[in-house]
Formats: sequence, C-alpha cells, structure tokens
Amino acid sequence: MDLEQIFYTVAALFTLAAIIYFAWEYLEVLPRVTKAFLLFTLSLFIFIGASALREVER
Amino acid sequence: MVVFWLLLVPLIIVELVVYLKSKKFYWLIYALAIFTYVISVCYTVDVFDLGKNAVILVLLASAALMFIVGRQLGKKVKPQKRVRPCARNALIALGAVLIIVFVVSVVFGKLERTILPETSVDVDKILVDNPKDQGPYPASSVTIMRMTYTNTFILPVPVKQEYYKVCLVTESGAVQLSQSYAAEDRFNEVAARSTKTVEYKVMPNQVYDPTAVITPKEVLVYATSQEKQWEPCDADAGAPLYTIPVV
Repeated sequence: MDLEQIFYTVAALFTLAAIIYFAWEYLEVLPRVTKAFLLFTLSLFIFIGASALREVER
Repeated sequence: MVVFWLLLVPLIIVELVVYLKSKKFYWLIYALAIFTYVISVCYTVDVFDLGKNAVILVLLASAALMFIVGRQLGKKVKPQKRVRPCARNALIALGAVLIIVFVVSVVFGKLERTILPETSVDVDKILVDNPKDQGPYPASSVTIMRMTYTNTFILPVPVKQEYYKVCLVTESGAVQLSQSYAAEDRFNEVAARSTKTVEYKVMPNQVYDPTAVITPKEVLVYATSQEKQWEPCDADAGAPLYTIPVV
C-alpha cells in the first residue's frame, strides 16, 4: 500500500464519520415521509452496490 | 428504534455465518440491503399507522419483490473487471439524491412559530379536588399557551419539542404542573405550505385534602431544557417567559 493511499483512506473515514454524525444529529428534524423515502433509497443504494460488487468479485 | 436494535443483533450473527460459509464479501452487502429494507418497511408501518389491510398489502408486495429479486439473482452474470458504468452512475445518482434530500430538508425545512399565552386561567380548572378515595384522577388538562407554526417548505416539517417548566404560584409557595400529552401529538408535523396551531396543556394541581385552603395567584411559564425540566419550582429559573393570572 502506498503512503498516499493511507491518507486517502483516513480522509474517506473522516468523511464517512462526518456524514454519519450529521445524519445522527439532524435526523429528528426530518419529517416522517422524508425519513421513509431515505430508508428505501438507502436500501436500493446498498442493493445496487452489492450487485456491482458481485459482478466484480466473480 | 427498538425494532432497529432488536434486528441488529440477528443481523450481525447472520453476517458472520454468511461470510464464514461463503467467504464472499458481496453476500454481506446483500444481507445489509435486506436488513435496511426490513427496517424501512417496519418504520413505514409504524409511523404512518397503517391499517390492517395496508400492512397485509405491504407484506405481500415485499414478498413478491424478494421473489422477483431472487429470480433475477439466480441468473448467471458475466464476470466484470470493473464496476459497470450504469451501476456506477446509478450509485452516484442515488447517493446524490440521498445527500441532497437530507441537506435540503435540514437547511430549508424550518417552521415560523408564534406563541400566544392564555390571558387567564380558571381557578376551578387549575386546582381540582381529588380526595384519595375517589379513585382515578378525574380532571382534564388545561390549555395555557397556543403555538402557531407556519411551514413554507414543500415537505412536511416536524414540530421541534420545546421544554417549559410551568409553576402554579399560591400564597404558600409554588407547585410544578406536569405537561399533558395527547396521543395524536406523537408525530407532530406541520403539512407542506400550511399552518398549524398546537395547544400546550398542563395537568391541574390535585388537592387531596378537602379542608385545605389554597389560594392560587398565577401560573408562571419558564423556558427550560430536557435535563432541567423537572427541577423544583423553588429553584432559581430566572425570569418567567409568561405570567398568566388565575381568576
């Protein structure tokens, strides 16, 4: 692993932590319909990601 | 949230078993997608108070969806060296939709609030005789403030819970009054581009001793926080927001 890849990985982890923290803090200000929409969209996002990974890993 | 934590432990166990048996990482992601979908369905059924027929329809539709997805996954797939552009673009588009909807709702989904306290409170409603042998508490709650929320956003916006400490001041001291919650306020939201008035109610003070003479003077409303809302009325809470005379 190159040195810059370590820093890129740490940057990605910080970004992920920022997104998770933002979502956790501001989730309560969202209406129910938005939260339901986000949940279904997230499940679709994860499913497409799994399908893409499946094609690559085979 | 309870369902989320209840399903999280089985999810972790399933993920471990699936990975140990298959040694394929994408199986874990599929399991996570199923878990997220189940949470979505449970959340939708719960917060929108779906009726019996609607719940049955949702469950049958989910079963059909999973069956169709299973059949599609059963088909052979050509191995790829890289993620296909259409899958990559779909992921980017969905990710952008998630982030944009979230951020726009947080930034622009705000309510304008106007508070109108009652001009006075009826003494017979704020002080109720309830000798212990009469059984359950008979009195109804008392409105002390009306809060009008205006939503100019294109989506519903939830009403942020504000914490108040309400004290009934009598000649002998101050007594804290509990807020009365209505079941329909469980998911308090203002519909898109509309106005809603919410009544802030408190439970009256019970008088167990019918011979006691209590002379209420006024009701004081203090702004407080969730942590401090149960501090006694004798504690220094600063100047009250509103002073409502008892007549």
